[in-house]
Amino acid sequence: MSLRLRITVLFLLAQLSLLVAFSTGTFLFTYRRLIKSFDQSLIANSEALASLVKDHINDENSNGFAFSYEVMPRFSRRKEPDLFAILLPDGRLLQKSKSMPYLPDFIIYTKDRRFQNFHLDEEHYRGVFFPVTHEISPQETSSDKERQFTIFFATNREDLDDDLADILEFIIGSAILMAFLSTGVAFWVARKSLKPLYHLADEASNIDAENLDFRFVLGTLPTDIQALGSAFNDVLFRIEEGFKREQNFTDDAAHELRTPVTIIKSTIQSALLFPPDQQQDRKTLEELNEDVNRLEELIEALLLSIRTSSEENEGAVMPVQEFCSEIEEVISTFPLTVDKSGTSIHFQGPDSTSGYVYTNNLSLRQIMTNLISNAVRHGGKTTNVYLSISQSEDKLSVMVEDDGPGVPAELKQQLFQRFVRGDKSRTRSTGGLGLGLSISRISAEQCGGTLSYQDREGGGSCFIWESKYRNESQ
Amino acid sequence: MRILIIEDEIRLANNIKKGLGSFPSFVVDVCHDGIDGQHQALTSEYDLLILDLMLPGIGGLDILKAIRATGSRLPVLILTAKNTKEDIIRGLDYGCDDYLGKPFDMGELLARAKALIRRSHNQPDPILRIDDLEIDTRSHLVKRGEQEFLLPALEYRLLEYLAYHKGQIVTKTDLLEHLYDYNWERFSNVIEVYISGLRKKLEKSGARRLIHTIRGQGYILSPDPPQTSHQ
Repeated sequence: MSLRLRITVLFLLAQLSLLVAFSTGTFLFTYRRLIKSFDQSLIANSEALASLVKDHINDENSNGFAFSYEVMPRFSRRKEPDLFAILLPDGRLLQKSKSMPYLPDFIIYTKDRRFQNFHLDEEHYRGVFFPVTHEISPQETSSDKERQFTIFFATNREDLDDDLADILEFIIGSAILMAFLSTGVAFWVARKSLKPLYHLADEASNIDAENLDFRFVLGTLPTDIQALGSAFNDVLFRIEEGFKREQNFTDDAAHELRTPVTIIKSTIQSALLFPPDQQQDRKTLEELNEDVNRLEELIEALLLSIRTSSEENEGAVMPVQEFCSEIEEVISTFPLTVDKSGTSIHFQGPDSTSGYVYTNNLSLRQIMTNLISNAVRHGGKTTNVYLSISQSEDKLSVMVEDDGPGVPAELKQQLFQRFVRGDKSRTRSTGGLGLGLSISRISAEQCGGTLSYQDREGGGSCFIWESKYRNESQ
Repeated sequence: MRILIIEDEIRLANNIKKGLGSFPSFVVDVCHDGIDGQHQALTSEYDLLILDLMLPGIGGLDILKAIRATGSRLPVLILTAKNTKEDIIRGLDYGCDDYLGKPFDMGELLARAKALIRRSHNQPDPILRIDDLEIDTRSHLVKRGEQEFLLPALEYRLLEYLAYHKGQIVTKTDLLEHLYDYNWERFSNVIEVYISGLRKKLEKSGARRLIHTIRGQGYILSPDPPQTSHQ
């Protein structure tokens, strides 16, 4: 259901509930007032009749009293005449009105004042039971001080009923009209309230890859929508950053690939400038062969660095003993280059070789080769590389430290990003594609581990590769 | 003509050097990082600089800025893998004369290099003419009247340099700076030997002298001997 419709319906329901409540309240209130008025006139008439009776009643044994209809013109009306009955405590009827051919059963003597609605000959009446206590002056009788009787007085309530019906009709009619108007108002309100959202959506629809730097100007938005606008701006910022990173990667990758291609091309073309020379040409072909191999390596490394998941890595497990011996093997591939630059590698194994570490051969080799060669390359003339392994309950950590110059502050943030090298140029001759750390981190994370950097206490770099680990017993 | 290449990819730099060196017109120096390159460009005489942008030490654009700041009119060709429109515009705005992206065609690089050198000496025609002497800078053939001959590399280079500076006095120092790469030890006598060798070839069959010596100053390639107090 659309928001607009939802708002309209809610508004409408609220309005209708209010209308119903209001109408009902109004009607009930009016009803009570009208009834009260009616009842007051009933009582007034009863009192008038009572005083008449008091005047004319002589003694307790009197069978009736001369009731002159002229005295109370109400009773001589032919249409809708009032009804009355005067009842004595012993159940005798003193008098009843001519308009009542018989005394209905419910009219009995009572000491309580109450009102009664009833039908008589298809006419609707409302009457009152009006008990009277008549005090007798000492001269008139010798025994009772007072005489009691009850007057029953009823008036036709057709007019009252008509009034009530009219009022009800009016209220209902107004309510329905109001309901219709409300629907219209609700629609209008919904549209007006949602307008800023539509406006927002309009503006947002203009955003595309070219203008990701667009931001909503929060000041021009209504306060409630500002939060939405601000959230939008945050999203745009993150997308823009992501885009920039992708763009940078594409630019960098293009640059990386162009360089070996340039070398190959220039080698071939400069050789073609000279007349054929078997020895020289042979040498050129050998150089080209190496170049193509390096290009292949680069392409593979690039692809690896953008791969986001690899099923064969997840869940792979290796006994810690094997893990350690693999690392030792990787270290052993270094000695030739190590000796040249005066670097030495110190390896310290873990306290126990029990348990299993969550990694695989390929990742291990790639990560360790990368970390150690980085330490050697960036270490400077005489560097010590310290490799240590430690375990905790659920983690196995490999620390590769060197006492070289360490990573400069400005590079720390981007250390694990692609193509970030020790300095701006990207020379193959100084070694390194700049992809090693980004690939290593991805490898580590694919196996559920982490790769991080911190400065070494006492100077130098410290890379920590943490992998998930489990004990024999688990 | 002496060319400087500042490029950190050693193999590539050497290939370009080989390519350029295949022409007798050129001698080539190579630097592999920005610091060396800038120093070399500012302290030695060159006729063309081929400059990579992504260099260790000082970046290519900064080197270009430094060169232009001295008022140098050295022609500069930027050779780089960064070749978006923005990069090209920036390079040209910083004062380079041409911009070639990698990977590039070697033939194109050589042709552009030659064109830049021609332009910088106000000689748009690839054939240099003085009197009845014609030097075709494309084929390196020298023609004097009806006679055609191919000169050995250094002699050609020397003649071409004089021809680009025709009517101007060229000092021996200029010649030493522009005709040799930085590996050579320079003995000024060598120039005299080559000048007389050239004269012999050009003045065969009695053609008039075009290479004149200005005592104490240098040489000049001109149809008429200049009026000096010595003459």
